[in-house]
Amino acid sequence: MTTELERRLRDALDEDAQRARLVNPRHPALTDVRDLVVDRSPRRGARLVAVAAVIAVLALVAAVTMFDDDQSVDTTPAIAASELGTIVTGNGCAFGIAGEPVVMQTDPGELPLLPRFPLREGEGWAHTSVGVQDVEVSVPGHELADQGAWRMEDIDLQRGPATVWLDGPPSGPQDRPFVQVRYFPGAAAPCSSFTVTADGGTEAENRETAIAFAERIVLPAEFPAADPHDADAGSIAGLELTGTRWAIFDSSAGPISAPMEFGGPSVTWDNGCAPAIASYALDRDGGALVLSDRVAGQGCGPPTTAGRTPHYAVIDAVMDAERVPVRQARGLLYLGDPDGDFIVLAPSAEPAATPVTLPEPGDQPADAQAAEAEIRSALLTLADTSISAEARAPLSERPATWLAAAHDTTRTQYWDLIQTIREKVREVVFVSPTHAVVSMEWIADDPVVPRDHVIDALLVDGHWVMAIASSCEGFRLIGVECDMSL
Amino acid sequence: MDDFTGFYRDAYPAAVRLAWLLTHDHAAAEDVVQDAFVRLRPRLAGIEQPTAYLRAAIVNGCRDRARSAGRADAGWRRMRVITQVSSIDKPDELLDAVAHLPYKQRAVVVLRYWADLREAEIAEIVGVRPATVRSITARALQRLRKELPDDH
Repeated sequence: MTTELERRLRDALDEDAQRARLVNPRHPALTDVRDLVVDRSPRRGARLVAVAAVIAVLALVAAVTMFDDDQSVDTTPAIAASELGTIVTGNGCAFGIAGEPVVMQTDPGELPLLPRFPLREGEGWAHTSVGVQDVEVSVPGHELADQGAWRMEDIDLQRGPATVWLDGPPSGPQDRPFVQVRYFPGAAAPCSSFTVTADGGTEAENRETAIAFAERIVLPAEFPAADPHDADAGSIAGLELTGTRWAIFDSSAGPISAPMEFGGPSVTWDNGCAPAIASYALDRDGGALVLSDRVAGQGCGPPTTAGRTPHYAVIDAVMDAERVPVRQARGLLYLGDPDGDFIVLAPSAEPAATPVTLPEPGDQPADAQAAEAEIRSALLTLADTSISAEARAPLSERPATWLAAAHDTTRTQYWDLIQTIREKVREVVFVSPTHAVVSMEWIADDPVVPRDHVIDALLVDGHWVMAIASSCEGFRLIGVECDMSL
Repeated sequence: MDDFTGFYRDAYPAAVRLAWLLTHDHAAAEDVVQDAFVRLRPRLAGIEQPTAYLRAAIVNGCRDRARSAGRADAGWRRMRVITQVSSIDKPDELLDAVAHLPYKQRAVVVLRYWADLREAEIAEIVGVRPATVRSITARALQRLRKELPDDH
């Protein structure tokens, strides 16, 4: 029986669908079709140039990883328990890359044709670049239907027999032909097979790279059995967390697959149901991660009701403490009580987080202490929504512009959330007597609000105020644009 | 006119509308649809149900975009997209609530109530069992009712 809500849904979606931008809905020009296939739009072309720059950087990293000085392929043996290099986590199967760290993208980003095949439920996927070649890993492996079109070659990986598929149809970026190594051992366990696809080189090069990469794949069942007692509390003396990304892959309740990222003053993670964020400090002497201002998102209910993810309750138990014991051994990080709830982290193969960094100090104001106090007061007052916007506006570099934008924010759907934000000034660095760079935290009731921010404060007419550029950057996050003509 | 051109002409409007409903971003919708057609083209002759393939490619493409926007540092980018929907396109509160559904729920709702697909078809596109489509739909409706308590 159709409910009123369902009827309204149909009507609303029908109406909304009409808002889609159709250039020529009835009869797209044939040239449009040809352009679609043959040429990419200038907009995409420009973006691909930018992406190419990123990929080039990744390629450098990966190339160093994959090749030694004489350009021979690194055929690092399959995983030994203590040699887990990096782990790729995501919504699907986690998997590792043995040996030296490899940067893997789980975000297709601007590469339009990746992944090559539609991802299936539970499938883990990532790609990287090796010189001019792209390498794509999928766990479990892709099921290809058109076997007749391929030439197949049996090979023996160190973990067992696999197949190399050659003469495949063009696919992937720029519709390049690819070579695929397929490891399907026939095990019933999930995440027990993989495919590695390489393109961009000659067939021989693609084959060589795909096989070399396949030898380094670590399936979840091959992850090392982590023992937190192997690590001691004094082992984190040299640990630097800022700007690192980790994969939670094991716990006191069994395997887990979830990300954790230390972006700066805050740490973000996902318990499998919802994201969470907290401010952190590392107490190296005490061997603990000190957490504060923890905020969890609204997920799918208690983790134990999430069905196949009961282990995620352990993440909550560990990260709910104010002081989380931290231990480190053989590149793995252990958080929690070794005899109780604990989680185990390995370096993530995904690109490292961008840490919040402040510039080096420059010339200082005559009275730096007083200046810092004024800046802290100005920034916190400007953010205090319990005070009228008119009263706060003079604390901005451009009061009229700021005031108009501040009024606009009250008309967004995020106004309620914005009013929950508590701001903290962490650090003030004077780069000149009239310019300070300030590290701030925004602590809101929803982890979707990014916590770490860098703000500019300027000395204008003898008073420290917030730079309008910094304000507008914040307004823009919720779709409010500053009117700089005011 | 070859097979692909004809299929493109027939399928393009619905494809863009589907992508629009899933992204609420005109440029993203066009890109996802374009990518889906490019992916489909070399396989068209060997695919029994190209429309189903196209829908799946679009749903997956939109999901990947949603995923990439889900990182912490891009969290507010997602909010910004929703804000643009609210301020520019002025959907009613129901559409706003749909836009806030988790991606899989949103996709199922759109495929069911806009594309009018059967559970089995939706299951194939989304990559779950038909029974799961029912539970996803139920959860989505429950969430929508919760967010729209007054008249539903």
